[in-house]
Amino acid sequence: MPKVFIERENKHVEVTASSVKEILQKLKINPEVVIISKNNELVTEDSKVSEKDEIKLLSVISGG
Amino acid sequence: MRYARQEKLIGKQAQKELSKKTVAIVGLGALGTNVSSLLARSGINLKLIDFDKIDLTNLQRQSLYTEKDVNKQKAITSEKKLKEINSEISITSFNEKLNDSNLHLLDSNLVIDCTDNLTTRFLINDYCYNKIPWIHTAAIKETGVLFNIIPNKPCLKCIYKKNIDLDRCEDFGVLNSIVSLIASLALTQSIKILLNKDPETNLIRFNIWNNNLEKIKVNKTCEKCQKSS
Ligand SMILES: [Zn+2]
Repeated sequence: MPKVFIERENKHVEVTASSVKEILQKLKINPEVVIISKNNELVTEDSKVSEKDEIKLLSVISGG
Repeated sequence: MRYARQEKLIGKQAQKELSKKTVAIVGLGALGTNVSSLLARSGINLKLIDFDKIDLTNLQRQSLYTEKDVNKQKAITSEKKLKEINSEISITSFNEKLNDSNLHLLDSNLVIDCTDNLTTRFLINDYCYNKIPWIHTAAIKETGVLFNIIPNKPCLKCIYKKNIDLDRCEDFGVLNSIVSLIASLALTQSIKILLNKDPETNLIRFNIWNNNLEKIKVNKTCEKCQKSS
């Protein structure tokens, strides 16, 4: 199962899923409030995920 | 003499080149005041853009302002303070909110986004697109981000697809250490961009509470960038 880090909750979880979209749905996370990295590369919701992938759901930061 | 320590690193010729460059700073809050101070000290000309007034709660992190500045205009106050730091550079200030009709204020060699909202950032992205290099910076709580947006390379929309309401410093707070760190990264990247010396291509994210640094590769994923590549 791909390992998923949820930055907002500072938590690592394992999710059975074949795409980023599925991960977000299963974790009930609004795709608009996060940017998604897969193995340190920014990806979109459509991106496929496999066993060894390391996914990070990082909060969108806007303050200045 | 003034730039002797910096010249030792970048060279006399590069310092001369920097003295001919102008950086436009959008937003004179925490990031804007910190980075403009570093740029002024480095001998780079400045255009300062902000419409806001100084509030007592700004003093915790907005390094150009002191108690007697509360309620004064940020742009004019910053100009005055920066001229005290370096009278040899050109500094102009604009007490304006960036909108569709005054985007020409961004005309410069480099724009640094020190705003606090995606609406203004998307305005900068559209105006500067494949024309003016700019640095996107942001910070909240203990985390900051920086991304260089260089003509013909991925743009802001390759990271953020939509304009949404996000966490605000008023509600979630921000440490002054993270803004000063991001401002330092921005100054370094400014010098690299202005001198054409391999600026960072990754999205940089730093959490100053746990010292976690992330370098994330960004690809051309927005419609506009995909068409132009
Ligand atoms: Zn783009």
